Amino acid sequence: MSSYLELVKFEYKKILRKRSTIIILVIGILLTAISGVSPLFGYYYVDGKILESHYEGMKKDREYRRGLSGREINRDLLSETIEAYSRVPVANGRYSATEEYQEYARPYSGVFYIISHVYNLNSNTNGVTEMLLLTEENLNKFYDIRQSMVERNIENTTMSPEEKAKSKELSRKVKTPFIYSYTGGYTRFLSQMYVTAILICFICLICISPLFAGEYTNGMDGLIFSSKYGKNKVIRAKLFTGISLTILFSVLLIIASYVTIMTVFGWDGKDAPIQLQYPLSIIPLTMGQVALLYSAIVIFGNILSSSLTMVLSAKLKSPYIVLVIMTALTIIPAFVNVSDSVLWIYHLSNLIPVKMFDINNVISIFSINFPGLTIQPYVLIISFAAVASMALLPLVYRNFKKT
Amino acid sequence: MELVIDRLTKQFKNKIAVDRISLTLHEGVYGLLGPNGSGKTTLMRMICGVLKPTSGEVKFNGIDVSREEFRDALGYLPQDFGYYPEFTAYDFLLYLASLKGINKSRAKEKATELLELVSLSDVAKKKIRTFSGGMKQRLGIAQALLNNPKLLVLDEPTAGLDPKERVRFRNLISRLGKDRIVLLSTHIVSDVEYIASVILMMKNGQIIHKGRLEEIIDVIEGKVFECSVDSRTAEHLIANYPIINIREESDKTFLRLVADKTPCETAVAVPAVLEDLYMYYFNKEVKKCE
Repeated sequence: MSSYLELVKFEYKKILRKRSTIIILVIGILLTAISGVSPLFGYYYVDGKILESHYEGMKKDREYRRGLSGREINRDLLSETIEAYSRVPVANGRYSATEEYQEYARPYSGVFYIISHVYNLNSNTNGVTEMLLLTEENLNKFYDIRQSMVERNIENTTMSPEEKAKSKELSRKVKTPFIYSYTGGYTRFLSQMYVTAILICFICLICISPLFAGEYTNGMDGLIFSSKYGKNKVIRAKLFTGISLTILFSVLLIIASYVTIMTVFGWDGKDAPIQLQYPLSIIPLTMGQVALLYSAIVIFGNILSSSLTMVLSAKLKSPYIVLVIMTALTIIPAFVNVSDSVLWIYHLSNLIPVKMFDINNVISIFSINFPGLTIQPYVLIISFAAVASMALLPLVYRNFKKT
Repeated sequence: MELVIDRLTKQFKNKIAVDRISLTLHEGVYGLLGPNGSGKTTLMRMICGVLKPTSGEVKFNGIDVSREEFRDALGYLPQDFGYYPEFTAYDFLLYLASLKGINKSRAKEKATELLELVSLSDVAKKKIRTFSGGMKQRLGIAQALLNNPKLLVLDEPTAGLDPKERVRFRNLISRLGKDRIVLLSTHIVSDVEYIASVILMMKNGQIIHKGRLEEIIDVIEGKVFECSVDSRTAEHLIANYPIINIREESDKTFLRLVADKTPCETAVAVPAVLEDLYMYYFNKEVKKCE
């Protein structure tokens, strides 16, 4: 065991002593942190004049929403929102540019966002007009209307009856009434995660592609293969290094992203339901739980990507070719949009690492039916990533050992 | 102690690099001599388990080359090998020691001892990327000795060393050959001449001669001649005989050559050395090709 750990230590040394690794990692962390708060750069203009900076706007909205935090979303809050928005004059142009909006309606913009999704309004002036037409009965049946909207969405998919039933069953587990909370930090963290995941993917790709192939380009293959542990323990040490490094870098960048975003946007909202951000989601989870689940998907997706990188690295004997192939495999699927009209193709496409990183895999309304088992897309993705990675590792072993 | 090589063959597409070589080696230093492309490195890589043979087998004391126990007894210095440029010499040896299954405290001890042996103690903590070719070669020799191997395979071990270092390593290798099998390949004929107890001459993937120096040289004993001739005769001799040495003198040309019988009137038979044999075999090959 000690010799195995010693080999792992040296594999880490080989990667971390390269100046390029440190530079890439530092750039990755900086990019993650900067892009996390990038929406706060710049100004909000009205009629060519600066109204406020995005940072000031975020702070103002945060205070307004914190003011409503802890309140149940019910008829009273909905009526207050409608009342506040009714003061905004219906005029041409952006209603948000009016003084009335800034003074009366803006504090309720978070609730308006939920109303517009549940009652299927458009979040523009017309949406406001439509909202003003909502009846008392509509407001009293807020959760029923939301549920029927969710179920209608489920019915409109091409899922099998079993899958639809499972999705509906899950949607009914969503705890109501919702307690309103400021969730700006989590909302930003979730929308930033895709970029973070891609960054992690590329950092791991660059660091891991030479793990096996680099031994050939370094001219170390002869020494390794002729040594006692050169055809067994060292391969296992490299595999462990590749996987553990991926987890380490993923956790590091996710934490960097989380801490930066939450420090700037605010730490509130961990226990708020995900429906405050995705009102029609069927997942009965809180913001904090979704953030954790999404992080797990990103980590598992990257483990799969790193396993693929290691297979190629052991086979191709050139880190550069590995890098080119893996870059293509990462980038190209990101630009391919697969429709959900043929569901099995859609679900299959989401098993490609870069596609796994989409938030829709966590909040989606789909269920997937296997004989005797109906699961959610995120369960399939995590299970597939784990099983496929495990299945690829013996291939790495065989490719590198075969001389 | 016995290394058995049995009908070992390696074929790369249409080229047979090693052609059914069978050998049995015991303790001692074996010098593998042959020109570029004769198959020396391919043979050595197969002996070390780095390259899979097309057919045939290699066994050390009955243990197959594919087994961990075989590699445990092996020390190998490849011909062209690299390093991790960011590693220090000391770290590099510790890494190789861990690959060879040596525990940490023993590895530290052995690394210090071997760095001393190859005169790299003062640069032990320097990064390998700052090393000269000769220093890297010395480090390569040190790593091959880390596990006190019973079978030591050295591919061009003296390449890149200065004459003083070469002599030191020749002596070191001679000593190592007392209680283990040392197989070394080189282009430098004098290295083999000085230290190899048995010489293996390789050509076109086959061992064409195997024996002690005297036995091998016996093939051309009485066939090595020296003469000083005019330019016209020199041209004729150069065109028709394997030439070992040419030296222009004031009005004549000095030649050392190999011939079955006296090549010219002034030629005098001289004692043969290994280089004569080498040139005899491999020059002939060149001429055939031409």
